[in-house]
Order: sequence, then C-alpha cells, then structure tokens
Amino acid sequence: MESEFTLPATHDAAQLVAEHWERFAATADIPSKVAFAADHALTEHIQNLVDHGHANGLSVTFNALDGRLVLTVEDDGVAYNPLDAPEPDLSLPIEQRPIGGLGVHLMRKLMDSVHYKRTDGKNRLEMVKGWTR
Amino acid sequence: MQITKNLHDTEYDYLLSGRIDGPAAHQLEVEVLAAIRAGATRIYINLAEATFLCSAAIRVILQYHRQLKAQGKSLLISRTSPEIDQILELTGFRDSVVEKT
Repeated sequence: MESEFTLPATHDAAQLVAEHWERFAATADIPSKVAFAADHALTEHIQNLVDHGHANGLSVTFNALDGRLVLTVEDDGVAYNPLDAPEPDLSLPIEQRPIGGLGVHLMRKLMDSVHYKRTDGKNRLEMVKGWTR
Repeated sequence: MQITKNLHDTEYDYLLSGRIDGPAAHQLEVEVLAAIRAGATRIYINLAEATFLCSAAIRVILQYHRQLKAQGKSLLISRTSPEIDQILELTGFRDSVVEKT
C-alpha cells in the first residue's frame, strides 16, 4: 500500500502529516509500535524542516509492503542532512548534556535505518522500519 | 493536548493528556513559566495519559528541570505511559527527570 501527497512547508505541516499518517497506519494495518515510532520520526523531521529548512514545499510518501515500512520526505529547502548531527553523549550528567539534537536522535533510534540524499536541488530523507507479526 | 492543573500551595501538578506535539510544547512552556512566576517550588508533570511526546516538549521539561534545580526547587515527571517512558529512555534523560517512587 502506498500514499503520496504534497503540502506547503507551513507551521502546521507536522500536524497535517501526522493526520495523514494516522489514517494510513489504520488502513494499512501497521502494528501500533511501528506506527508510534513512525509518527515520532515523521513529526520530528517535518518540524525541523519547517523550523530550519527554509523549504517552500514538501512531498511525503508512505509505503508499506510485506512487513516493511518506508517513509520518504522530499523538500526544496537548503541542503540539510540531519544525519550530520553528532550522536549525543548519553553518559554525560544532565546538567552537561546539550538540549538540542534530540529530534534527530529520536528519528535514528526509533527507525531501523535513515538515509539522506541531495539530488536536483532537493533533500530526500528515507526512513525504514520493519516488523514481524 | 489537554492540561489539567491542580495546585496545593506552591506545588503544581499538571496532567497532560493526548498528543504533546510542537504547539502543545509551547502551551506547556507557557504554563510552566506562569507557575514559576507565581512562586511554584515543586512542579510535577503527569504523562500517564500522553500518547505522543515530541522533542520540543522534552526540551521544555529539561530546561525548566535544570533551572528550578539550580534554585533549590524542582520540576519532575510524576508518571509516564509505557510508550512515553520508551521515548524518555531513548533520550537518556528518563532517570533524571522522572520522579523516583
């Protein structure tokens, strides 16, 4: 099953994508833990794009087939590879830990893999998660 | 998100229900700042009925946890749902901000 849609990169984009995702996850019968993880990963990435990416438009694709979910987000903003962000040092005391970078960290941890590519002036982020019943 | 507030002297309890996304994180920050301005010494955030917790909301909790701790006061998460507990665990902050029972 696949769903593809475009939307402007406005302040409510993360909420609109989350609503699309909720409908898709129910229709495609995505396991709740996978749906929860994907919801967070999508929201964190879209919110980063809206806040920092200077994008005008977003193109989002959900693909679920044979226990494998692929979420793809393309944007026309400035080149931005979220995977360039360093992994936080979880061993540091709370007072010394930087507060930023949590969203990208959660994306990495919640999904099985995250891939970034810059082509034709667009950022393309692909996030994958599989499951077995 | 829905916020229910209970106040006992300078102790504030907030029950947050539903989806805590970017706009809800801002709403939470407004509430916490109002409590601090009103003289709160202890702030508890109950996430047992939260279904989603974005990083912006975690940043709000961390920021004011640190600020109040430095003043001899506290902001702690009193309860979590299993899903929200997983998110806090992944950030590495859970043991610092969730109240020990």
